[in-house]
Amino acid sequence: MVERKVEWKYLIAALLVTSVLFVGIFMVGTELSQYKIQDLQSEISNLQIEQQSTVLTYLLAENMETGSRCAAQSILAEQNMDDLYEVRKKLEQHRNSRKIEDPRYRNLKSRYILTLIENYLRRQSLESDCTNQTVEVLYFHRDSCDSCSGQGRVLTDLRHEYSDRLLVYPIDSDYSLEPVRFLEKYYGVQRFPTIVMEGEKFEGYTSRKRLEERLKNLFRSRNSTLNSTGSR
Amino acid sequence: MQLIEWIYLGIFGVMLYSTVLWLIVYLDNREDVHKDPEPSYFPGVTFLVPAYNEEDYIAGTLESLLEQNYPSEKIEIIAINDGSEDNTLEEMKKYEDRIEIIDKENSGKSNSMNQALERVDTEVVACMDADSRPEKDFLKKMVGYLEEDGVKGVTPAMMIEDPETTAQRVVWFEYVYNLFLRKLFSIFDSQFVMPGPGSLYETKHLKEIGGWDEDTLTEDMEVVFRMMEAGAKIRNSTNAKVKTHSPPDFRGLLRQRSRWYRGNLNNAFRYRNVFLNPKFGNFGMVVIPFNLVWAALVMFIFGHFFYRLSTSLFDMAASIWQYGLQFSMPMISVQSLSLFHLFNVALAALGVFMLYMSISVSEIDLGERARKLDVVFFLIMYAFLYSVFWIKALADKFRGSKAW
Repeated sequence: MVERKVEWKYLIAALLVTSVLFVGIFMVGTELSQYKIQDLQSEISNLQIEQQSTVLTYLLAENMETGSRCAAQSILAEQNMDDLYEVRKKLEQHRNSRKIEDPRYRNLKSRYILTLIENYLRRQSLESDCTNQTVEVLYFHRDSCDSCSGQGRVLTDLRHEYSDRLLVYPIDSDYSLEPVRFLEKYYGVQRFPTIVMEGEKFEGYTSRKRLEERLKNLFRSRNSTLNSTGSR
Repeated sequence: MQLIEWIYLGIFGVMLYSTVLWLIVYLDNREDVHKDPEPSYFPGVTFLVPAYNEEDYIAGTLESLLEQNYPSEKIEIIAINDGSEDNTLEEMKKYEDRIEIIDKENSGKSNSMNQALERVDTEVVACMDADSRPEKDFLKKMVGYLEEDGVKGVTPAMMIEDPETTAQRVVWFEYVYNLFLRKLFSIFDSQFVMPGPGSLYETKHLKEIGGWDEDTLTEDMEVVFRMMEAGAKIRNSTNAKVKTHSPPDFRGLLRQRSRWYRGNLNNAFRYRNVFLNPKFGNFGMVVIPFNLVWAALVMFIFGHFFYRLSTSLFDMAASIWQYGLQFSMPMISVQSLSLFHLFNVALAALGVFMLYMSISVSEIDLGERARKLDVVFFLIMYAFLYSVFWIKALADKFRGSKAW
């Protein structure tokens, strides 16, 4: 009969090495997080700088140039929204890959939402008889709402089809920022998702057909206004 | 972190631990991995070769045994025709002046070997599958181990003979990997299978414990439990190469593996007293529990992956149906990287290192491009296959199948 022993030395050595590996991987993970946050920070800073320079140029043009009023407005109107959407995607990717909560993410997301709302505000102030052929849509949603992902896809689809003429502002109602609360109160947002398209409110999941119909009506009325008053 | 993420963290931990454990066992015993003890004498060895419908291969097997680089008067061969319906018996008879032949009705591999075992009077007895061919120095490299105190069994280094079909090429690499792993298990005193193609037993010991079990699906695994209970040690040689065959088609492979894993489960249950029993050393405390944990783990990972894959395919189909085909370039950014990617990289790196070690230990020539491709396909397909094997094994078990 052979004495059978458990070779603890191997088991314990392996445990130690595995623990060291674990710690090592977590440390690299922390570095990675740091890098990702910094990447987001710079993206959002750039976004804010872009936004601010566009707005300032517009204000300068409006106040100082004696040229047509509409020329100044076109600076705002022609601002490229792609960056805004790209940063949003990055924020989402960041959140999806996050295993451990980081308060800095919320901070960055908040900054993004504020930039978004400011952009919306500026666009709303553009006068309709100049170049404002774009329709702005406020899209209120939350994490916990079931039909929001479907609604999101509808809006993305519409945005791709009507690219320059439709702008979607996704407002993440999980963030209790004052401007967000203000907008929710102003439009009486109670259910999610809620879409506000140029003053008209759509509560709950709204089909592409319905949204597109309203959109087309708005485009038609815009065109007729422009045509009747002529370009300036 | 959600529950599923904690589970994955645990899974990563287990996988890391097992790989690290084997690497440490290897590093601490590097010199022993390649060396076989020189035998101080050559004991008599009887080879038992049970065969059922193996007319294509039996001659090759018998030739290899007769050509062993070993004193010929010390080798005896008993070929057992297990009621074959083809020309196996005729093929055997070609060698009848040099081997003993038992012709009997079909009663299964274990019974065939047990009947032959009664006639064995040499010090050592070996089993040899009828489709397997040992290399010339096979026996010489293995017998030395039996001189060590307490060693009652020795296992060989199995490889696949000429893999041609995909089903064979996918597992070819698994055999290479197991060649290395088996040695580590042997060093860790916890081998759990005595493979049919070429395992050696001390005859006295095998007869004492009652030969092979005739009811189990996997007699090569079941016998180990009884050997362990009798306190036997089992060693391995990485140089005693024997070439065996693997099923040429996936159905056959699936059937084979289902049998293996069902056998594994049955034996683990039957000998559950071994489970976490310190009397059985590393075998009972580490390896047997680990086998079960590993199987459950792989099934979970595959199951979860399949679930995620099918839900995303479903979503994709639903969205194409509703919105038509949209090709938007998926944005790839550093933001998608997560802690789990890091774990995957660490595991992959360790895995590749283990693979590299097993290639160098088995001393195979990877010069052929085909072999390199086999490695790639092995890596891609194996995890998937392994889970399918286990799922089929469990499914068969629930259906009460006793199929071979």
